[in-house]
Amino acid sequence: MPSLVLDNVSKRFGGLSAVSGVTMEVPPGRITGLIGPNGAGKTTVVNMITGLLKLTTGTIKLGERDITTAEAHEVALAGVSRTFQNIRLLPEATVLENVVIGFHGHVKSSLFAQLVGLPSSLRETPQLFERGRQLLERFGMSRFADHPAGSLAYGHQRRVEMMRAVASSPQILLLDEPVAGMNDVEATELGNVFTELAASGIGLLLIEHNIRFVNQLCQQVYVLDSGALIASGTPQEVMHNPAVVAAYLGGKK
Amino acid sequence: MMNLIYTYQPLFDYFLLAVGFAFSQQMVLRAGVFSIGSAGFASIGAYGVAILVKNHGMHALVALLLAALMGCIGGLLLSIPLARLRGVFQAIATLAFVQIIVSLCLYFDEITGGPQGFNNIPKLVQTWHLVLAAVVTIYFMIRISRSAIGRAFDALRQDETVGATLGISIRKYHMIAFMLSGALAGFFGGMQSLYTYSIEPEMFGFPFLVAGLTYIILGGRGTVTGPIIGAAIMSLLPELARPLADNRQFFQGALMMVMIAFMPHGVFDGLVLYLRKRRAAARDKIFKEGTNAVTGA
Repeated sequence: MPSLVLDNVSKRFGGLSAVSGVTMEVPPGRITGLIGPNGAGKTTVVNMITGLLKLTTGTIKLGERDITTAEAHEVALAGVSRTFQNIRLLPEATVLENVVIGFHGHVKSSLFAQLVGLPSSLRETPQLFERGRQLLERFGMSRFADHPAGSLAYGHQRRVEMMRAVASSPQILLLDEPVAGMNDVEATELGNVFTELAASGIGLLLIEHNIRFVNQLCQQVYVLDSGALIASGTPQEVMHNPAVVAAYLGGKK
Repeated sequence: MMNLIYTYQPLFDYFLLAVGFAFSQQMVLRAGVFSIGSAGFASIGAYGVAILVKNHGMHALVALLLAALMGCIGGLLLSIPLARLRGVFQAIATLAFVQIIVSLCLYFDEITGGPQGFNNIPKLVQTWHLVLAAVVTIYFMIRISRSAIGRAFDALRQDETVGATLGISIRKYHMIAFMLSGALAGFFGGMQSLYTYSIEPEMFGFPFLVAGLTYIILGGRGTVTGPIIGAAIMSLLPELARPLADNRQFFQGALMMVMIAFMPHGVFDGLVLYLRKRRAAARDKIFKEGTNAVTGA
């Protein structure tokens, strides 16, 4: 599996520099942390990786492939999947349908086959729904399969979003504050899921506020403040870095 | 019995045509495109078929397929400049397209007959042709619903950004929606001109596109049954409300407002959503009772 590499990535909104000169790597099979105070530019970084925002400078590569200027759907098809900070499910669709839409990149039958109803297409849809059911099973969500996704409790909605992101069999998974609003038990449960995903070879980028959670899961942590990287290293190294302490708790100028 | 059928046959034919136009309108709305351009494509199809069949003696079926192709290509071409527009801006731009088609039909009166309309079109379309066309269309709509195309449309309608981050190309699927919608409108426009003896430009103007939207608002955007119900209601309403004939416009408007306020998903889609929620709640209750029994709560 390839690494995701950001090289000197910057984003300016007019005169405002939201992210400047970020260089980082998300290797496969590990959970990499990206932390920083509110407004540090974490979500901007994720939006640039996923092709929702254009970069001002810098390059982003997935393995050998340059995805700097790729559009959102191209980035997704290349193997980068994400969840959103504010959960974004398809509210009218059922939980199962929300997961199945994650398989979009795996659909093999042609548009013509789908339209006319050739056997290849007729076989494919039930197969995808079956795979969706298996995924629900794995996440312990089977009993919600036919619920409208918008009607679920918050923690369950997070899970659905996670399943949808995993459905595309990504190589890189970007998690934008996945445990926000969860209690410790729920967070630990989800942390175990992340560890399993990493063990299967996926590279995870965990964007988080919850320092304890990051410390438990990540081998490598990047700290962003006011759009610039101020520290990187193991969680222990980073936590003792004076610049990081100052960014979080305030410090002497 | 036969008398009854004869009396209501025109109504039934009108309903079948409406089903075709309703699906054309639904196709774009389903993909999250607020296009009201179906009227323009229907006009292209209607005039195209009328000219090909009457002036050039072309076989009706060939002409109808060409009309679908013209609508499809028209949809493709229209989707390119409109790719960056969303919501009400799409509606305005496609309304402008409809008006352009109406004025072109008025202006080129040597070909189209202008404001007098295009008359003496041979009536080659019978009820069973319309039934066949509607059934085939419904088949295609079901196929779309149950395949990746329909799922992509549904995803883009509900949240475009999410769709894109799951690998769905917004531009591509909006283009497909425009093309399919155009093909349907072109085909049924052609059917209409071979059914009604004469067509005139204003037939495919503002009232036409309002009717198309009405079918979907009444019936529903997301299901195959929705537009059929919407078209049925709109076809039957004038009959049922005959005593109110003088105020028909008023009652149609009032009905629309009530629907939008209280059943925003339409009659059929609203029903489906309601039942789905109720079923989920019932299952939840069983599950909770089950766990309570186990835990002794």
